Amino acid sequence: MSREPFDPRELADGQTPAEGGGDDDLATVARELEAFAAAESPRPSPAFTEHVMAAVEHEPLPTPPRTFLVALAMLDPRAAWRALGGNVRLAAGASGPGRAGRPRLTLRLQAVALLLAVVLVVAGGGTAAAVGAAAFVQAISNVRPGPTQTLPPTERPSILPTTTPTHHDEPSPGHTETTEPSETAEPSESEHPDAHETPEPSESEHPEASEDDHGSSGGGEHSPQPSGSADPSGDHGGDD
Amino acid sequence: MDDRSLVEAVTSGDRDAFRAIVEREGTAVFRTCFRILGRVGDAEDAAQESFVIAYRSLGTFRGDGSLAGWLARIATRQSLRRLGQRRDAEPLDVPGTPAANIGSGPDPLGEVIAAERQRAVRRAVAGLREPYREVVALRFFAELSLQEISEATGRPLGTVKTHLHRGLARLRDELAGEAAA
Repeated sequence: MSREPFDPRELADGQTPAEGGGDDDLATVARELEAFAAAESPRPSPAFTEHVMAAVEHEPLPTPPRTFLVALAMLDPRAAWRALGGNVRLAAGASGPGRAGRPRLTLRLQAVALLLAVVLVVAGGGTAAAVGAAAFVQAISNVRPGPTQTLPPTERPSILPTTTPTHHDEPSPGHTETTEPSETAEPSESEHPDAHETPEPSESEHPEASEDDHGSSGGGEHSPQPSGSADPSGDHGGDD
Repeated sequence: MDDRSLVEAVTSGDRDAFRAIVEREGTAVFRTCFRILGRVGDAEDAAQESFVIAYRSLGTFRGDGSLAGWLARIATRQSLRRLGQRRDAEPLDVPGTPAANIGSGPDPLGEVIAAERQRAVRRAVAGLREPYREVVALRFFAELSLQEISEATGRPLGTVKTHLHRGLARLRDELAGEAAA
């Protein structure tokens, strides 16, 4: 606490603003403020300390682990960082419990557990961030090959003109090759006679049927054999 | 015990260490509150609330500055917050206010003038904008040095000096206007 009266020279090293007046004026205001403070210097009631302790009695202990969690809950990163430092000191044994004469193993274990949890969370978050970043980069790299694939088509036309003269010579044989299968189609015509030959064995069966027809021309029992009638050539041949 | 040892003892579960802090700093914290609020009852409430807040956040005390400065800043902020809440409806005859004690001394007129001037000073300080108000209150009501204010607020010393210079200049203008009125 500063009990010394204000001296304008205290502000000598400060950036004196242009709006500021003379030091005497400021000293006058400062004297008035000091007189005001001196006139209003009562003491608290004798029970003030007990009142404060009664108010604090039901408060949880402000241990570093709890302070850290409270700072996190209040979304105060600076307080959380400071509390984390307190936890490190406590876990390392550099904090007060030993000097205060009341070493608390549970409190120290809490600090160690909290630090481990923080390390795990940070490491997990870092890993997740790395994986996410890698996936993102990969996704970008997958998108980028599109433009790179457009380049080969530009190369192909450049190649095609050079190869087309050579291909112009070759395509004619190519077309002749396509005509060759048409020649193989001719043997297929030779198969057609085979197909005509297949009815011939049926004709070899027909003679028996035709004989029956000739034999029983008056009876209609064997007429249901359409195979014989289906082969009109055999029937007509027999008639002939 | 120094500040850091006291704080570490409290954070380790020693409530008696906090009692030692209250007994050592209680008067200064209460006076800071009273100079801003002007009422004994309000000042005690604000001081008690300040100690409770300090107890809750004691784990964040780094020990870079003094514990007195850290507590003074909490008390100043709490008192200014309370003052802002009640400023619109401030009765004149509440026990503990200067107006309630007028006429009890040998020089009633002088007491009236002094009480009115004190009210004007308190009103002028309360009417300052931040951060000038906080710096002026910490320097003259909490009686901190500029170095202690710098440590308690985390601002550079040059910035604190600038804020105090501007705050005093504005107070001078405000009080001159009050005197003229």
